[in-house]
Amino acid sequence: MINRIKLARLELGMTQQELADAVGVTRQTITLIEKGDYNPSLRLCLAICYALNKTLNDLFWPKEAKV
Amino acid sequence: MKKMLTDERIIEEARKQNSMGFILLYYGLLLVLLYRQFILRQSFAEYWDVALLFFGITFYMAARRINSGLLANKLNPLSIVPSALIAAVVFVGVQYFWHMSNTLSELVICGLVFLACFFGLNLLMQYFSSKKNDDLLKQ
Repeated sequence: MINRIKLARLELGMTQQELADAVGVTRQTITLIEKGDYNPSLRLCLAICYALNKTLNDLFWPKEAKV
Repeated sequence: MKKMLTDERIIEEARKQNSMGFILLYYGLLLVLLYRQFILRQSFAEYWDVALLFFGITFYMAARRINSGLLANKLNPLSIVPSALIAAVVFVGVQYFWHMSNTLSELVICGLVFLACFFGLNLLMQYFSSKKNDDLLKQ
């Protein structure tokens, strides 16, 4: 799944560890999600959205797919 | 000592590994049973503990599959026929090679009784599984 977590995180000046601490997961999990190697649950997606002050559409939907 | 953080990815990965471990153990038990019965030719009294464990696990898994409705969405007796036929042929083959004294008529009767029991039991399992699925849709 394409996601824009890394971009949104860097916009806020957050490190992977800070985001991981904010949503209660390990840094490895954040790395894998950013690389697209792990599909997070909806609960974790929402937690990441809250932490980065973004919506699901902003982070997890590519612009091309927007209707 | 600081407790290691566990998140959904770690739990999911651990479950996958546990699942693979279970599969290896389950089929390992089956191989042990077959080896002890057909190669070592032990009596049931010598391996009843392993057999009890294997069939207990099998019964538990079947019961859970039925109870969760995962076994079958709807009743489909035709889908049972191929597996029932294969199981009956294997059963008759084992009967023949294991009890060489069996006559042809005995083998045919054994095979038909096994086929009917296997088919009936699977049909019953499908019925309860599909009933569970119907109940889920009603909720």
